Amino acid sequence: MTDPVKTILVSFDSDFCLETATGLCEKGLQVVCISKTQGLLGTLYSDPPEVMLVDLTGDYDKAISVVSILRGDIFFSTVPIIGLLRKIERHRVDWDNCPLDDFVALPLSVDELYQRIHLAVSRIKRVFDNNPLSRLPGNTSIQKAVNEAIGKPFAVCYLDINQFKPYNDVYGFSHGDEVLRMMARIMFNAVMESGGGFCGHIGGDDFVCIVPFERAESICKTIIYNYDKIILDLFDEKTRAQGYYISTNRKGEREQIPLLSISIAVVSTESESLDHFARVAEIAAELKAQAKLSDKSSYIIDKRKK
Amino acid sequence: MQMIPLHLAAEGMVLAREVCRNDSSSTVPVCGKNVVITGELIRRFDLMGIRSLYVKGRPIVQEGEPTLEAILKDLDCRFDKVRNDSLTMKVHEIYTAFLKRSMGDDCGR
Amino acid sequence: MEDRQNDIKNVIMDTKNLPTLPGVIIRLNALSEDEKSTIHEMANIVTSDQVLSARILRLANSPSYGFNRVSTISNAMILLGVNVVKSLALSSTFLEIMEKNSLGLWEHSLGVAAAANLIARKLALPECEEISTAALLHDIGRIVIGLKCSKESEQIIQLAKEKQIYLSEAEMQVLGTDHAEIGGWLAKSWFLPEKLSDPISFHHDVTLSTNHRIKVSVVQMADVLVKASGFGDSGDIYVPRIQQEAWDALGMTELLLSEIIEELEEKLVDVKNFSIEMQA
Repeated sequence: MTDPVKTILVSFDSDFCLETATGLCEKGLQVVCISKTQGLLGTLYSDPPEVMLVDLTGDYDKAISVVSILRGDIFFSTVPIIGLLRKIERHRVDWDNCPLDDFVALPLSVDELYQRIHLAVSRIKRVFDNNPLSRLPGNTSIQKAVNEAIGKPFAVCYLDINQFKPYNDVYGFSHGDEVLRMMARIMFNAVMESGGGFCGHIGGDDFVCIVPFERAESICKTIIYNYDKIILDLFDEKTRAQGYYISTNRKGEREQIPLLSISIAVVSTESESLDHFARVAEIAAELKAQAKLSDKSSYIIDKRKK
Repeated sequence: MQMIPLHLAAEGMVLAREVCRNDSSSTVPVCGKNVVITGELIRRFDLMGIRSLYVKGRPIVQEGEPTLEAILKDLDCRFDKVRNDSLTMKVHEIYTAFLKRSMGDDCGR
Repeated sequence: MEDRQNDIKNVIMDTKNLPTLPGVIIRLNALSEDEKSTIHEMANIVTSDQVLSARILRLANSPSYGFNRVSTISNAMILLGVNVVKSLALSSTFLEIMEKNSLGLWEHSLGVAAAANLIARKLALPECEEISTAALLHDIGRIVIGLKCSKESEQIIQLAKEKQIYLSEAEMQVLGTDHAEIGGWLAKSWFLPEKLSDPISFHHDVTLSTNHRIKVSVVQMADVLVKASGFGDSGDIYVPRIQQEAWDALGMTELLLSEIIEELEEKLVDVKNFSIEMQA
């Protein structure tokens, strides 16, 4: 690791904070201490750390609830969270549902903590299934989530961006990446704000979310409404007004490319003929072909339900 | 336009905005704007619990309220730095006319 | 003077969190705690406050999210999500002492945003929401001066009164820079898009903006109208000049202007009521 690891230490004991931070700073980490919950989340969102240390000796429930909030947002999915615990608190921990990645015993050995921080950072890089661009879970997690949903009243929604490739070619990949990050965030927020669900990034401009079937349609509507509104920001006034931009295709001909839109194919996981992941994807592919007939954003819900 | 408490409303004043019933949950309009106020209307508003109205012009002289002359003088002061700028002085002219119209003699007082 | 300017720049750039009116934060916190509150209700509060708006836009445009051109509050809120906005609200600081100055400036900003929106709609300009946001933020530099250079801030107000000059002239004399430039620095360091930073930087001189002349002109005109009406308190006693270039860029006419002023006076009554509600 070349750059100093950006670490945040949350402890309601300010003396402990100072002492630990000094120790870690001497070893070359960059440490920010936070000793009150007021403003904590705002700070984390404005300046996300690479590793987070949470002192659980004070108000245990309060500290765990902060950790759980962070775990609930994909934005922090790549941030390892290490708890600092005394022996007596360990029996309180519900290890099966614990939002921590690791813990270090108190009284603290700064050496040990330092080594564990490094391990945690390199491990997360190694095992990370999430897409580095969108920070959403990738195919391994998606397959698992779809298989778990089969037979239950869920909907698997496959999203993809229409005309993404020409956009990428004309405006450059960094703008293309921005579109993908926006798509991820719009989908994630729509799903979470409707009451929760699974969100994943298959790769490229293909995304997926799994939500209770009865919520699927309203989520599709929200995603499309928000997406269509946001992408207008990516085009200049002239392009927006005329509704297309010019691209040159492989044959060297100039083509009118419509502005970006999305198609969503919604497959019910309760359908009888469904028995595995691959079948869900097949049905989605058929639906998508229909959805893509239009230049406008649209969604299609599988009529074969039951 | 002036906001007045209902007890100062009088026949002949003209509503400048629609009147809404103030339920906490929703605001339901009960009377449109440009309607000439009658005694009957005032009684109905009172029964509905409406406390204030927007009326056209400035029919009520409120205590401590500056006079038109004082307001125009303040306006003049604010434009002190742009007195020679004919473009910005257009704003001054329009405001002067507007204030005279909404506060002057022909405002239904 | 250059050293002085650099000193100021360093102090200003260190700005992490600007305080705002308690009423606004209390209202937003109440919405945050209510699970049923919608993004729309929260957006209404956020768009009434320049400090909160700046904070949300700053976060949405920050490199850690990787969006580069978020220029409206509604889009920023879609991308950040309700939860992030709620946690930002909970970590906002408010002005401990509610001085007359800060309330006056808050009302002024809100008034200019309303006026800019009115002008933009009247002229059927594109991107009305961006224009209102830029107008809301146009004096953000003044808040920072008040916060970071509170001693100088008093000096500036005193000087402007004594010499009967514009506040920005007094700022120039005391700080070697003015609130427009300071606001521009902040907007740039927060990665706000140019359509927002140009009106902040150049609302006193529209000719300095090449790409967003129309938006800058709307904000200049809105600022003049609100100052002319005597609404709020920007700190300036005197109405600034409307530049011919701004008038021409908008294709303004006297007839249109008098319609705008008439409607604006009505709008400002609502703004005043909203302000009173926020102080309750």
